[in-house]
Amino acid sequence: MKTLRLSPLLSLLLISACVTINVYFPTAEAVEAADRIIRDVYGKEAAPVDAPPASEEAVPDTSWQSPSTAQPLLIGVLEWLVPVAQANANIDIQSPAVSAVRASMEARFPALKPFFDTGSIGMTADGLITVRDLNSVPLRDRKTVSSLVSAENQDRNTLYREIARANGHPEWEDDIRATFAQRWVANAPSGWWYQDAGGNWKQK
Amino acid sequence: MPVGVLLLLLVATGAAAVERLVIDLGSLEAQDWRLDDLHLEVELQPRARTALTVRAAALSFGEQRIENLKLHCGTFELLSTRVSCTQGRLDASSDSFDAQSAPASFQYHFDTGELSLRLTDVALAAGQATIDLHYVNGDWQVDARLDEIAIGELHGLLATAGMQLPDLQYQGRISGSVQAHGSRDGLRELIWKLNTHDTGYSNAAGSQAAEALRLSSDGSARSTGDAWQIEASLSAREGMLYTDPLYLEFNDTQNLALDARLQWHGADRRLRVQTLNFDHSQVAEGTARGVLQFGSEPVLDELELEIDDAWLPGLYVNWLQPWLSATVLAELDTAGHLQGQVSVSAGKPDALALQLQDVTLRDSGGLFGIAGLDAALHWDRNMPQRVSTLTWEGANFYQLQLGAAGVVLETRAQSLKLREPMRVPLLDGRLHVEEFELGIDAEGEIRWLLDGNLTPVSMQAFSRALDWPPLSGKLSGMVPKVRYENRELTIGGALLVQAFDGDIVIRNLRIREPLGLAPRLWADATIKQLDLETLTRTFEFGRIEGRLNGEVEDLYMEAWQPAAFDAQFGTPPDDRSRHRISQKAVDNIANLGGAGVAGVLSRSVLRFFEEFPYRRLGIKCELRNGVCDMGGIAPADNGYYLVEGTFLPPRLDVIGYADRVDWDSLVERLIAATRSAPSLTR
Repeated sequence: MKTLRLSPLLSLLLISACVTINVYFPTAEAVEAADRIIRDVYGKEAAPVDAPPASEEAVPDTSWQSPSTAQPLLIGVLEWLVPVAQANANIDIQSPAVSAVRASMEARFPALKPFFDTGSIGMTADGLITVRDLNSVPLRDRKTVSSLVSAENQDRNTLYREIARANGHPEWEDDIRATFAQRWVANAPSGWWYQDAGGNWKQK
Repeated sequence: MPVGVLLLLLVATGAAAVERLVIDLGSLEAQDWRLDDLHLEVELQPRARTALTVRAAALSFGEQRIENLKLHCGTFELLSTRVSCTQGRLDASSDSFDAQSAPASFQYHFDTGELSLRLTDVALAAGQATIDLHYVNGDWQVDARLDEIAIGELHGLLATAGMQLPDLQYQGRISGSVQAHGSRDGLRELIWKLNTHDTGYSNAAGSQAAEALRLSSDGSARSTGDAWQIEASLSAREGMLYTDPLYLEFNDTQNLALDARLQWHGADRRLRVQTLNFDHSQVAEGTARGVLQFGSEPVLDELELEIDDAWLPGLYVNWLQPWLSATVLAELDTAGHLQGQVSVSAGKPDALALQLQDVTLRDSGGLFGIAGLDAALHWDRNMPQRVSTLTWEGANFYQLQLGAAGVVLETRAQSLKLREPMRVPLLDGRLHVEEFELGIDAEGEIRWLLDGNLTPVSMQAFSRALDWPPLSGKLSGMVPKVRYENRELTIGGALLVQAFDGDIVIRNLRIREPLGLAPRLWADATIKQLDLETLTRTFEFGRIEGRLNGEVEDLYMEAWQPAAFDAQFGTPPDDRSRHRISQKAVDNIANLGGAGVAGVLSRSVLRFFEEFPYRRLGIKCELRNGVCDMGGIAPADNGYYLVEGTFLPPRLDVIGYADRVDWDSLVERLIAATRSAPSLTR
């Protein structure tokens, strides 16, 4: 078969074509950005035992507080000489929308954590979370678990969309979601549950 | 016939005055049952008492099989019309139940074929039961009195007897009485009066579960040929129940009582609720009627709900909130009460009539709220329009307070509309709403349109409401066609802010997902003839005299933070006002830039001047990706003029050199400058 004989060349072409496409999504930087966000959400106590120490995590310009609603009016009127800005990273996670979602998720996490620890909730393969087994949760807290899960999922969907948008590539949303799906699990402490691509539960 | 043979034998042996008679019979079979390896033992005792022991290897009836059957009658009587057994004991075992040994008695009438059997203290599912069986001509009746029967084990027993309860883990105990009537064709009537305690159940995932329930129920179910007519009451006074996503808790102050007349059509799996009176204390009471169709998923075919009274927050917390998670209505503080009717057909709402009294709904995050709401809401899918009225004492959107007002609405199938113009106090001004329409688009999203105008609101009140620095001036404007569509709010006209003795006109304002986590805002603004003296005094920046014009194009904000804009501000070209800039303002400008200039200023001859004249001042900023591309009023060597001095001394120029400036740092320094008076030179 002729096509077979041609196939090494063809596959080389195909591979290079794939590579060309992949160049547009900075995978390594996305992993780094996801890890930074995820470790902030998980916080120190949830850090996995085997995870490498977080490197240069410090947010630049920490010496001042986050701006208040007062600024929009002020700045238009008065602004002068200030230090020159730093260069941007490849994956920008500093947009106000992303920051708002991150803050919301970080605030929710302490409430979610005990349910991760007991395996009542687990991580899905599409970067969300779901109720797994409520039996260890007191009855009166079960509805809290399901509302926490839906609020968290709403935030996560917003987060993936906003990161894609903040980087000027709304079409990256699925790649970002896939990256996060992997990193949520990778950064999780052992004992937490996650679903594999086939939807089967596994314990880390 | 075999029974006849047996009795003949008995009579014969009795007549022969044998003291003890043992007979082995083979199998004995009648229409509905069969006995295997039947063995009889008769003892004739003093004072004419006869004792009988009957053994059989197995008794089979229908699908059931009872083994090692032994009936011993302490007193056995055989007359020509009947046979009876008292002071007896029945031993038996089966796959379905534990080995039994229970006091028993029976009576059988030869002429009528009537059989009565009574078993007492039967060990059943970790509890005890007394069972009376009455059988005549294929009609049967069972009376059972149950005492502390374990529901978990009962579930197992019923399952082996072919009666499947839903496959759950059960706990708890049940007591009471059950009466069943039937014939050869099966069960015809069931009457019960039961109560349970510490009752619970759970499915494997824990999404359907109950604990510590104390339930009582009495009722009856009668077969009417193709259907069952059920009349029953059920009350829950203790315990808790979770059925995803609902959670109900029962106690002395909050319990649930149901009283129902139902009709169950088994063939088409249809439950007709003729009446269901519900009384959920502190939550709701009323009546429901309807039809539930059980398929793969139960569907509410018809529902007429009559709410006699319902109370908030009980109704919201118990029945509404669980369905609203991750919506803007997920976290409300509620109060008040309501009555009315709701009807549903084919799974969709059909009509609604609700009276709301003194209702408060307030988002716990402070996004919006309404208080003192009284309303008569009417809606009917099949009517061209209905009329609803609402009045409230106060409302808020973020920190914007709206005062008391009332509206009359025309409610249609898919929309509602303001019937007559309305006036709502907004801070110290007033919002006139000429037109308001609300509907639902094809995707089920809410859209609305508002047309009106705003009488002046003082900027003082406005800025205070929004926690902004105190501003002077007035906010007013035509607000023609405010639209909310596809989760986006757009204002068709211009908003005019009269502040600092000048005008700020805001155009093309639109806000995407205004109630979301990260609202986005787009707008353009033109600033004309702002008085810098008032402005700088307000912000304590250091006195500047003069006027200021400006343009902000393509302003884009995310989560209320500026993300991009092209802005330029400067002295108006033909401005004839007095131009002065104070040393403090120059210091502040300098301080923003890091130090240095201020030192120079205070050490130079210029320190003797309190203020400086200037020709013009201005600044440009193009904000993109957190970085401001800076410019001034005019280019200078390697930089740009922020302040250009006059030809006459004392001449002072402020020249900026940084092209690109970090926006967040800029804002930070600006805030610092306006909050504390710098003490560099004083």
